[in-house]
Amino acid sequence: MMNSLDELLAAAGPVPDISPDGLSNGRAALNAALSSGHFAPAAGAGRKPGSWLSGPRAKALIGTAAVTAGAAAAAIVIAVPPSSPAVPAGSPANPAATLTAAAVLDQAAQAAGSQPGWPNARYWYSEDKYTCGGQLYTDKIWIYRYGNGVVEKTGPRNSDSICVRGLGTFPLYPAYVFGPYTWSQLYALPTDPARLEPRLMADHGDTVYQHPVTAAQWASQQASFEDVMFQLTDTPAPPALREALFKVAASIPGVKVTGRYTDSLGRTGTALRLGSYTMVVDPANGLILDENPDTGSSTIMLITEGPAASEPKLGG
Amino acid sequence: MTGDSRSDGELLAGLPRQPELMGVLYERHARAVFRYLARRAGRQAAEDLLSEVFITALSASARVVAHDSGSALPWLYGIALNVLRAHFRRQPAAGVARDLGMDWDAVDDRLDALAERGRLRAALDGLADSDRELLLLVAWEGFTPAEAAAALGITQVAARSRLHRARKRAMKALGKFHATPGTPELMTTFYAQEKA
Repeated sequence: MMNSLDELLAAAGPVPDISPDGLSNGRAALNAALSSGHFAPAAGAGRKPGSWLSGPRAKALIGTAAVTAGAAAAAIVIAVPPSSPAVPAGSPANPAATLTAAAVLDQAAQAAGSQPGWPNARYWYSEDKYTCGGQLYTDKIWIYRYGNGVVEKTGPRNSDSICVRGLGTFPLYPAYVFGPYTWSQLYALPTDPARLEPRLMADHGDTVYQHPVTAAQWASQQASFEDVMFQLTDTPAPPALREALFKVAASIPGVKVTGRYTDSLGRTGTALRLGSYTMVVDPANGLILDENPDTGSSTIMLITEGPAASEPKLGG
Repeated sequence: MTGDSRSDGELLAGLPRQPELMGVLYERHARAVFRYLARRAGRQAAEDLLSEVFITALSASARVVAHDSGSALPWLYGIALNVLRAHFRRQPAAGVARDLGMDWDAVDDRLDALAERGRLRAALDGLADSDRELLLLVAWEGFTPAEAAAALGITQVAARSRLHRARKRAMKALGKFHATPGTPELMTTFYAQEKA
C-alpha cells in the first residue's frame, strides 16, 4: 500500500511510449497542415493566433464552463426548502432559512472579529479530525511563531493503512509559512477589506479583477475565494484580519449557499460553494468546519484553533 | 530524431516566418507531448490528439518565446492542455465525467495492479482544475514551478502559492500528514519542493 501523495503520483506517472505508427501518423498530419497552410485549430481547441496563454486568458479558458452559473450569483437570494428532521452525519442538510452567501460570511466576519486577540502567542495550535478506513484520527498541530512546529497524531494503530504510518509526536516542517506569508507578515496585512482584497490577490498571484466581475474573470474569483479561505484555516491570522478576510470573501460574486451541513461530530454549519470549491462555516463563531466535504475523499474536520504557549515533547 | 542543432528558443523565434520549423519541434518533443496527453487521456486519445497540439501550436506561434529554461515544452504543454479540454468537451456526458482536464479511467488503469485505484482520484478530486494541473506538471512532467507557471500562464509567485495549496489539500484528502517516527517525510518533501 502506498502511503504518500508522492508515491501515488509517481506510480500513476509512467505511460507507454508512443507507437511508431502513432508518431509517424502525427508527423504526417502536421506535414499536411504545413503543406495546406491551414493552421486553424479544431473547434474549441485553442487560442486565437498570436495570443496564447496570457494569464487571464488561460484562466478564462479554465473557467468558461462554469461562467454562467457563477458570474452573478452573489446577490441572488437563495430560497431553500424547510429543514428535514433527520440529517445524515457528514452530508448536506436542507437549509432552514433563506440565506445569501454574503449574509453568512458577514455574520462569520462579526463573530471572528469579536474574538480576543493573540498578539504575543508563541504557537498557533490547531486540531483536526479525519476519518480514514472507517476510523477516526486526530492531528494536533503546534506551529512555532519563528519556524518549525510539532504534530501529534492519535488514533487506532493500523500499519497497513494510508491513514497513519506512525502515531506519536513528530517535528513538523522546517519553517512553516502560510501561503505567501510568514507569521509576522500575516500580522502586517491590512484589515480594511478594500485594501486587503487587492493585496491578497497580488500576493497569491491571482488576476486582479474589478467589481463587477465579468465572465472572463470568473476563474480568478474562485482562486481568490480559495485563497481567502486558505488564510482562515490553520493560520494565526488575528481577529481583525479574520474579520476582514470574511468580508473580502463576502464581496466575491458567485458564492452560493448550498445548504446546512452536519458533520460526523454533529456540528452544523453553512455550506458555501464557488465553482468546484466548497467550504463549511459556522457563522456563529467564524470557524471553518470543513473544506470540500462533498468530494468523497477523507473528510477533514477542523475542530479548534487558537494560540498556545508551548509545544509537547517529541516522541511516540 | 532531428539533427537540427538550433535551440528551442531559436526555433520558436523563427516559427512565424518558417512554420516548417514546427517539424523540428515535433521530432524533438512529440514523445514528451504524447506522454503528457496519455497520462491524462489514455494512449489512444493521446495518439489521436498529438498532431492537433502541434497544428494548434502553429496558429499560436506569432508571439511565442521560449521559457527561461530554453525549452519549448512549457508552451507546448499549455497548448496540449487546451486541446485536451476541447477534446473532453466533445465527449458524451456519460463518457468522461465532466472533468475537462482528465480521463480518470485512464489514470486508474495505471494504478489498478497496485490496488490504488481511486485513491489518487480521491486526493486530486477536490483540487481546482488549475491547481491540479499545476501539481501534475511538477509531479508527472518534471517541471519546475517556474516552468509550470509558464505552461499555465500564471506568475511564478502564483505557481508556488498554488502548489503549496494543492499539495496541502491533496495530502489532507489522502489522510492528512503521514509521519513516520522521526521522519516527517511528506512535509519535508513538500517544503523542499516549495523552495525549489
